[in-house]
Amino acid sequence: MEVAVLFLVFVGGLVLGIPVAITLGLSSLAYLLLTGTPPVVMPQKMYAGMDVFVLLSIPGFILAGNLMNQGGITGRIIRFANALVGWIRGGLGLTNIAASMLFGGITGTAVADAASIGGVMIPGMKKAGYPADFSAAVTAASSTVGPIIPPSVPMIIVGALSGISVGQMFLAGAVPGILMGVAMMVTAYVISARRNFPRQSWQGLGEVSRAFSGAFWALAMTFLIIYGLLSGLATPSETAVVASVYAFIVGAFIYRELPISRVPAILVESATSAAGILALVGFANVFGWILVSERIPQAIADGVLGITDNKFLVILLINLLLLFVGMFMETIAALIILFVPLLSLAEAVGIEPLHFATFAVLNLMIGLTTPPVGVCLFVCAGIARLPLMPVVVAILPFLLSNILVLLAVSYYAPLATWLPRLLIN
Amino acid sequence: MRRADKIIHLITRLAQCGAGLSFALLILAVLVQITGRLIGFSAVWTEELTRYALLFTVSFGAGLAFRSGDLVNVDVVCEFLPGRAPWVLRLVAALSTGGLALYLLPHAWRYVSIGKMQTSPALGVRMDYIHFTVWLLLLFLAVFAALRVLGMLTGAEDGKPVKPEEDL
Amino acid sequence: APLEAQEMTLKLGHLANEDNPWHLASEKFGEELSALTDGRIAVEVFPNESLGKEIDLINGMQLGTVDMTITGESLQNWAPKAALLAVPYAFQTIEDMDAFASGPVGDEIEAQIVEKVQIRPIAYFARGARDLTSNRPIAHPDDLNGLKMRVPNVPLFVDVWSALGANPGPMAFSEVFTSLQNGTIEAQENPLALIRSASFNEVQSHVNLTDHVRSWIYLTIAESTWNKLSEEDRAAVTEAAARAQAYERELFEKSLADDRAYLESKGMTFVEVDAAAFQAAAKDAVLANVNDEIKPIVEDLFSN
Ligand code: NA
Ligand code: NA
Repeated sequence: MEVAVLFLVFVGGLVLGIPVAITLGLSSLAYLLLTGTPPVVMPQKMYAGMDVFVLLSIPGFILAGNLMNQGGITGRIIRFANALVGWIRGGLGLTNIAASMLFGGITGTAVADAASIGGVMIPGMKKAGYPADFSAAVTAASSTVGPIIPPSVPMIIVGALSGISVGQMFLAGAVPGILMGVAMMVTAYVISARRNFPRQSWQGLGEVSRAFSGAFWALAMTFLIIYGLLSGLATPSETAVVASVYAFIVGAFIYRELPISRVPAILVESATSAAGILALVGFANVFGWILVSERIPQAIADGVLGITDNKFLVILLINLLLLFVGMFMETIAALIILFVPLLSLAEAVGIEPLHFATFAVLNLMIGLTTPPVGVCLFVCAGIARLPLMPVVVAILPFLLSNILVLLAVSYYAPLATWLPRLLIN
Repeated sequence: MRRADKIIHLITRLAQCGAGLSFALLILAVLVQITGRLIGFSAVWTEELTRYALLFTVSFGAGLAFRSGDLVNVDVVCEFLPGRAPWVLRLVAALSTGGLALYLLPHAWRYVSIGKMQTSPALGVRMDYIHFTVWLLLLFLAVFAALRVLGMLTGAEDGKPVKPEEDL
Repeated sequence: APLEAQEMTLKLGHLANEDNPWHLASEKFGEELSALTDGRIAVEVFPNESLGKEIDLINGMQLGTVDMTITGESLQNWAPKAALLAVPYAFQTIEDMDAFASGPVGDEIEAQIVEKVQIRPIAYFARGARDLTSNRPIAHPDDLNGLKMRVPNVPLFVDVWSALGANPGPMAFSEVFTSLQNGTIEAQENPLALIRSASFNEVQSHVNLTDHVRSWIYLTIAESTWNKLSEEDRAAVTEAAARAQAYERELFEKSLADDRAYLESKGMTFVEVDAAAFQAAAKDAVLANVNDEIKPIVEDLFSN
């Protein structure tokens, strides 16, 4: 009964447009009052949820993304991506995807990717004659490769929740991330060829090499981060701060496009965005605590195992559940609440934790682009000045291609586990 | 009206300074930690300081996030309703944010007060100063939500997110 | 017992996993208490930090949102005497430790915990001695030579390892595995059971038997919950706790040998160390860095 109220208030609050964090808080409070639990548990669990070292990666990567935008790094990455694939039919769509993949090697959050690439690419694509809905859709869909290609904030959080090695998870994301990018490029090409979207002329190898040397310091960042991790310079969550410092140095002193006087404002903006997510993490922790106290995760696991212990079917059920949850919940909140219980379910049928973590994160990234709650969808529709519906329609082919990659990674474990094995043993 | 604007401006500035400084402190603490490991001198307090700076960043920033729309909501349904409905729902959102935060404040204070008995292992600070962040977070949420409700009722704003550029 | 007959359900959260002796002893405590009270009091056990982390659970007990937990030297954040639960080289053997924990000083520690933390120790469990893991043998403090290692957020540990010649730094436990893997740190120290459950054998080759900290940990109940119990029920709780303690000791002794055999089967090399050299080098650092309240007691321990 009380649990039913918990979920009803949660869904009701979402529909009414109350902030997700507050909705989690209101529904938890309703439960606490109904069961006679002291409400002090709410501030207590909020504090405990936020007092976690690795969460520093959230403001860290957001800051890195903002510094990259203002320091000319994003622009150079886009130019390089454009020199590589812009000459193909639908070239700016492909550029958009390639830029997200390159950008994804630096930033750990999809929203930063959507806002950065979208801010430049969506107006640019519209001006070049691409439909606004397609421009927004391709940006939103491709932004989700950011946290699949290392580094990745959701993977850092998964590591903190479960003890799975973050370094291995990072490496496990590389192949699926590239696969996602390539699949989306194929999709974008097919759509572009059919609808006869524009193409630019091939600008020659000269432009490729000029664009490369222009973007060199930006692209070097990817390698710096991977190197920093593999060589032990910094822990995964610390790389977020390293990335920020690097973006600052490149933007301010090498490209000289980042006015130092803007830095305090960028710091405050990044802190504000991060605080929004972290407050959500706090309230989600209360919600999660209630689920644990009610032993809901065990009930879900027992329920699934009661239906089947077939590995093939369990993978399918987990993916369906996560896709469903991803439609309504913010990624990090969903991870906090569901990851550990689903991990024990996965392990019970013999799915390797590293493999499970990879496809679970991939799945919830897709959730960033599914209605009704899809933050990247909101961001891109906002930049394109469109209502949500047309973007939702336009993103369907990309969703399909991403789901195909998800199925491939879910059912063929080596896509995730091969690279970490190769590099770490 | 002018006075209300001034108050909003002042509170926003205060929260911004707090969030920015806390975040800067966090970055500094992490850099000290990495450097310390490299040069073979590890300070015992960096891990703790990082966490506490993060908590202060959130407590100053959460109200700002509400104001700027960074405290995400799902506006698919509500923003496409006809007539005054979107305005009413925005008011409901602000009222429930403020209401929840206000309701929790005394409970949060109780959580703050049990921190008095406890000190942190590395920095040795009394934990009520750190538990205080969760109270402050709720306070800023309550204040910014109340300001929005007032603004909407007096017609000074329409309840939509205020972009940070307008504040900075 | 049927649910209707229950008057009270105690929530017990802890950090160990389901196979750990502490968890099994917690379950045992629940069964015994239920039997002793004819099913009037039940205990619901939440392992794996699922109900919260250690400090959070203690806060929860102070606020009345959790009833019980298992906790040890973290209590020194409230009660300075609890620092005695983790003093490097305070005890040579587990018998020494037992005599101390159940003796007069042990009673003082428990009294201070009740007074300052508002939670009540009702039993204590032995912990495996902490050992240093690394990728090369460390048999003598001279071998440490600036070894980059992780220690928990306990300043005394940092001071002692610095004095021994290592380069220790605190790090969140969740980052330890990755950091060992990529060389951010080269070593860490923990009891064998934790080395096993965290799979450190995958990223470390040697267990150096430093046995540098022998300690115990309390099964505790919130003072507010305790005050709600009748005299009779308190007696039942105390009795059930004593039975759980005895049961845990059996399991503990079995697990020590088990864990070593397991880690060896996974390819780890166990290194006997020059214990006297470690002790001698650590003692001054310990005395210089323990709080004044426990200093005389530590001096006394060291002089024996
Ligand atoms: Na990334
Ligand atoms: Na979604």
